[in-house]
Formats: sequence, C-alpha cells, structure tokens
Amino acid sequence: MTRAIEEHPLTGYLRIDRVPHIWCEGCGLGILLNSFVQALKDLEFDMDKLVVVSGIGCTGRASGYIKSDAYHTTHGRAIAFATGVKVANPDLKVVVISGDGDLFAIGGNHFIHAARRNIDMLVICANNFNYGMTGGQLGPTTPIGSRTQTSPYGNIEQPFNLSALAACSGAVYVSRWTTLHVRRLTESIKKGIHKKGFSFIEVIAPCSTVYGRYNRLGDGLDMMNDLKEISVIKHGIYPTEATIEPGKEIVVGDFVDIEKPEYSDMVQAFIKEQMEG
Amino acid sequence: MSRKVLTGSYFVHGDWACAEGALAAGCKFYAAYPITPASEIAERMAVRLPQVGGAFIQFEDELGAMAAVVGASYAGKKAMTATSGPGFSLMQENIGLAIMTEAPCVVVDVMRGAPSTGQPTKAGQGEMMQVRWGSHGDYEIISLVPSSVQETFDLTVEAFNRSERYRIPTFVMVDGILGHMYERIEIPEPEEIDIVNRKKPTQTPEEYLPFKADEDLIPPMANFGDGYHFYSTGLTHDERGYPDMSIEVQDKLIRRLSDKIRRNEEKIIRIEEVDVEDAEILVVAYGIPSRSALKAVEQARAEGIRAGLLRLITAWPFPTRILEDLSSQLDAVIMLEMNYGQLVREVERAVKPTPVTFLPKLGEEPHKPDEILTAIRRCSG
Amino acid sequence: MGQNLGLAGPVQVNRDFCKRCGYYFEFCPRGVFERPDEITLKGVTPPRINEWAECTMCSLCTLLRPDIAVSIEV
Ligand SMILES: Cc1ncc(C[n+]2csc(CCOP(=O)(O)OP(=O)(O)O)c2C)c(N)n1
Ligand code: SF4
Ligand code: SF4
Ligand SMILES: [Mg+2]
Repeated sequence: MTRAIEEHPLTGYLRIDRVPHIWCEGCGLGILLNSFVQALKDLEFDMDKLVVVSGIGCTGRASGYIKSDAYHTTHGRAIAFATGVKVANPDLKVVVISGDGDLFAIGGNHFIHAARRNIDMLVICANNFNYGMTGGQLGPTTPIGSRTQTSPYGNIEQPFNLSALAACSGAVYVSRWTTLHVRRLTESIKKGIHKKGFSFIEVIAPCSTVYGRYNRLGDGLDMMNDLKEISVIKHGIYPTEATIEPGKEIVVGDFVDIEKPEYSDMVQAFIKEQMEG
Repeated sequence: MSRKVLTGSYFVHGDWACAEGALAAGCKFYAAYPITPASEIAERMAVRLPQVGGAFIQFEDELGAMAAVVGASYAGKKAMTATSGPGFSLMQENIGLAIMTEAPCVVVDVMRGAPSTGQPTKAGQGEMMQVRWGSHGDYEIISLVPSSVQETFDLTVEAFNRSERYRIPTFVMVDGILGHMYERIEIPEPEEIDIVNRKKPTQTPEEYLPFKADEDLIPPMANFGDGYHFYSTGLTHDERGYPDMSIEVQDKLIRRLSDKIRRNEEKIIRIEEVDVEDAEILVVAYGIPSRSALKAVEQARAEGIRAGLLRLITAWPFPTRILEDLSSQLDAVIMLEMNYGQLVREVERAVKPTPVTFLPKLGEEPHKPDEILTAIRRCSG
Repeated sequence: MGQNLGLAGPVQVNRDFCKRCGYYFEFCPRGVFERPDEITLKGVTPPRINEWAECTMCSLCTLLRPDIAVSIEV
C-alpha cells in the first residue's frame, strides 16, 4: 500500500517542485542541503531576510533548491555577488553555498578579501576534493597522490587546508564537519547564520560518482563509512593544526569563534555620519 | 552644500560629471577597481556616495566589481562601475550574467587604445566592438557615447534610465580625453531630471513568475528582500527562473533578450544631425572626434561643399536604418574613429555602395579639423 | 507530491525522490533498518525493518537522506 505525501515537512524552506534534485545517487551534497534547511527551520529564520548565493558546480546547484531569494552566479563570483547584495541591503543575511573549486580556485581572490574585510556572510563550502560537475578534475583541495581526470598519474600539487586559509584570512567563525556529522553541522550552520561577520564552514562531502570512482573508494555508503572511521573531533584547535588527509585522518570541529568589527555595519555608520554631518 | 545631489553650474572634468550624473539618476552603489583614466570616477564616488546614502566599495578586481554590481542591482539599488580597457575585458563574463539575469546596471568605460596595457594615460576608442560583442553568446546591449562634459552628465543619467527601463546593462563609453577634460556644465534642479525606475511586480509572491515578460518583453522585477523568494540563474531558465535545457526554452529566452532591444530600437537610438538634409558628403563621428568633425563640416559649408555631420549618441543599437535611408543621397561618407577601424564596418555595411573613407587615429590626439576638411574636399573634388 | 512506500512505522520514504543512497538505514543509531538485499520499485531500495519499537524518532535518518526522500510522520 502506498500513501501520498500531502505536504513535505520542509515545503516552506525547499523548492519541493524541483525535487528530485540533480545530484547523483550516494552524493553527499543532499545532506548538506538538509542540514542547512534544518538549521533554518530550527531557527525559524525569516525567509524574507535570506539570500542564498552559489557559484557554478554540483554544489552550486544548492541555491536553486532553497525557497528564499537565491541566485546562481558565474563560476567563482558567488562571494563577490553576495558582497554586492550585503552592502546594498545590510538587513539581508547572505549565505554562499558552493564548491571547493568555485570558492578556492577560480574564486579564491574574493574569498580571502571578503574574509579580510569581515563582511557579514556565511560561506559553506562542500569540499569533495575535486571538480564534480565537470567530470572529476584536479582541484585546489585534491590530496597529494589522488587520481583525477587531469592528474592521471596521481596529484603532485600541495592542497589547501581550507579552514586554515579562512582563519588566516580573517574569518571570525570557522568550523569543519563531514556530511556524516550532520547534527553537529546543523548546529554550526545555526551559529554561522547568527554570527555577525565572515563565517566559514567546510563540509567534507563524498563525491561518489567521480572522485570515489577514480580513487576506488567504493560507493557513497563506503565513503561515508570511511569518514566515520577517520574523522576526529577536536574543538578549538587552530585550523592550521587541523589535519585533513583523506583516507588517513580528518580533524573536524569548531575551530575559530572570535569578534571583530563588521564591514557593512561600518559602511552604514559612516553613511549615517556623512548624511547628518 | 555638497551633501545632496548637486544643482547649478560647475567647471569640472568628464569623470566628475559622470559620477554626479550617476548620483542624480539615483545611483546608490558603486564597486570598482582603480584604473586610469577612470579612477577619478571612483574617487568622486567614494566621497559623494555616503553623502547621499549610498555605498562605495573598492573591489579586489574587476571580475568581482562587476559581480557585486549585479548583486547590488538584485538587492534593489541602482548600481554602477567604471573602468578602462583591461578592466573592461575582465568584466565581460559578468556583464553576460547581468544580461542573462536582466539586472539593470550601468558600466562606464573610459576608453584608451591598444590591446593589453597599451598606453594607460592616453585616450582612444578601443572598445566600441567589445562593448557590443565582448561577452559570449547572443545578446543586445545599449551603449551611449558622450562628446562633451555636459553630455557625459546627461548620458549617465540616461544610461541609468534605460538600464532600469529595459533591465539591461547600459554602457557609457567615455574616452580618456573627455574623462580628464574640464568644461562648464549646468546641473538642472532635481525635479527637472527625468528618472526611470524598474517595473515592480503587481502580482502576489505566489503568482509571481520572475521571468515572465509583459507585452513589452520585459519582466517586472522584484528585489531581494521584498518577500518574493525567487531564484535567478545564469543558466538558460524558464519563466519561473528554473534551469531548463530544452531547445524551446533556449530559443524563447535568447530571442526575448535581444528582441526587447531590437523592437524598441527607434525609441533607443539617438543621433545628432548637422546639415544632413541636403548633404552629399556625410561625416560620421562620435565622442571627442565629432567636435573636430563639426568644425570641418562648417568650414566645408563655407566653401560651398554640401557636407553634413551625423554624430552617434547611441553607438549600440547602431543606427543602421538611418544610414541606409541616407545612403541614396550621398556621394561619399567619411568616418572618424580613434581606433584602427571598428564602427566603420557598420557604417560601410549600412551605406553600401556609397564609398567610405576611414580616418583612423591612434594614440591620444584626436583628429584635427584640417585633416577632416582635406578629406571632405578630396571627396567633393 | 510523490508516493510513500507506506512503511508501517513513523519513517516514510518518498519513492519518487529516492535514489538508493542507503545512508539512513546504515547510520540509524538504533539499528531500526536492515540493509535490503534486492532492488525493487523503480530503483528504490526499501529497507527491511528490524524493529520499529527501537525507533526513538531522533530524526537522524531525515537529516542523512541526501535525496530528501525520508520523512518522519508524527
Ligand atoms: C569561467 C568558467 N570556467 C570553467 C567552467 C566549468 N566548470 C563548471 S563547474 C567547475 C568546477 C566546479 O568544481 P567545484 O566548485 O569543486 O564544484 P563541485 O562540482 O565539485 O561541487 C568548472 C571548472 C565554468 N563554468 N566557468
Ligand atoms: S558528480 Fe560527484 S559531487 Fe557531483 S552530484 Fe555526482 S557525486 Fe555529487
Ligand atoms: S528516527 Fe532515529 S531511531 Fe528512528 S529510524 Fe530514524 S534514525 Fe533510526
Ligand atoms: Mg568540488
């Protein structure tokens, strides 16, 4: 016997008319989407005040499933676009959800400068160690030795530690989780949404179809089981110390939570001063 | 005194006039990366925007500046950036994004010449084709070419109005000479300046389809934060804004994006004609060289030569039909550009088979009236 | 919007959304589900249920479902 689903419990937050989504069977990106939407629901966040922005890539499709104002920019420019939105209307909360390649290869410049400015924005990066959308090429987080379409003999480039890069660039909140840590991830997203300033959450997500296949990591379930085995929670350590070695050890946790003056507030303050003065 | 939008008479340069024109039009957001000869626009905006309640941000590069302008436009603000050749090249992809997602915005290019870094401090008209075709795919844009400091002010206001009216990036193509040249300008009272604002949806959020166009092919635009909860993407999209890879949706969208301009060409195109009615020799020019052209045409008339001047005020859409209609009365056309041959090809196409003499100018100096007069005499002899 | 598999307990699977990731039955802390051994219903893999009584309605399965196919009906 089958029953029709009357109303999906997340109807107010998701564009259910666009589900099933485009992500592959066993892909971790759907978990990230769940977690984000759950955080909004837990916070009873005012969806009129939310703008979700993505770049290009598998992860970049996330903005299209969230039922707020949302925008899918060009490859690498999500943070730049989001900066424009935030400065133009500081009442809005802007969240950027995008991939490791989008945010740290082609878009890396905007990331470090947005963090430096400390503009109020939550950036969630799905780190799947490769370019999923274009068929699994080498990216800025691909581990040494990993095989991708463009590192057929094994990667020889040193990867970024994204959380460390965020912290060193000036982010006021930094945490890293895997898709397996979905509850803790949800809690961090809630913190990130509330945090005033540039916040960064790195989410290690299995890309089973391409990265998993080239590196013989099995299906999504196997990759999730692997994450379960190798991840270690260490709250509060500075992220330069937070190892990220897929297959060996991935340190997760809440790493940075500090206070600093926020950019759009300061812009508003001197606009006020100039207009009155 | 300098707190609000200015009114009155000022002795200023083109970049200054451009910045004040933007403010008069209601610009509330400016993002850019410094570059000669456009930096003075940024510098003026950095001082003035906060005074009128707007925000200025110096970006880390022009790719980001252009993306931020699109973001600010979606957040409901009139937004502008200004740059020059190299920066204009970097902006092209996100200019395409503005076209595809129909974000009203203004891009000012204070032109120099040559590929790459060229001569940074010198003027040119090097991006007249790039502004039309620089981003990939099929599209139309509007671009305006002022030839005086006053007109730089006026056309910047006009650029905002057109971008808001047609939901399209609109370009003001200033050249390096004009950007740095001082002239007296009159800024009218605010009530005397026509301001156009984007069409807002009248539907409820539930009924709203963000890319469903009205009769005029332009969809009403909700702003982020208005409660419409809509999605917009640079991918080919249907009326809901959802990605759609079908042939039908691609065909419909791409046609509409161009047709909203093509169908309104007559309203959009602006030219200035001097002594064209009975002209046998037509000088076509735009921007700074058109000032020398005017002198030359006046002298030619004094010598009894039936010469006329057609000055482009909009470069794109190009006034092909107007030139076509004139061609039967013309014996010769002379085209002036501060480049090695860009819009002259459009002129040739339009006036065929009338012969076209092209006078290129490379490197700072605009054409001298004398050399234009010599060319007119040669054509009439 | 879609058809539920009509499992007897509180957890429901929308078969129009499901892509067979298998996450929710693998990681249920109470071992409510058992890995199925065959693929049925248009590629959907309905779990074999061990013991509904074990379910604490913790909702982890609804967070770990990448295809938005799993929900809890209270
Ligand atoms: C300017 C530009 N260059 C290249 C591409 C092709 N491209 C699309 S997505 C992508 C990589 C995405 O990788 P990532 O951000 O890691 O996202 P994932 O698919 O892995 O989630 C590339 C190179 C593009 N769309 N635009
Ligand atoms: S290619 Fe990889 S990242 Fe993209 S949807 Fe498939 S599994 Fe996910
Ligand atoms: S709600 Fe919790 S206990 Fe119940 S089936 Fe889901 S994961 Fe298992
Ligand atoms: Mg990736």
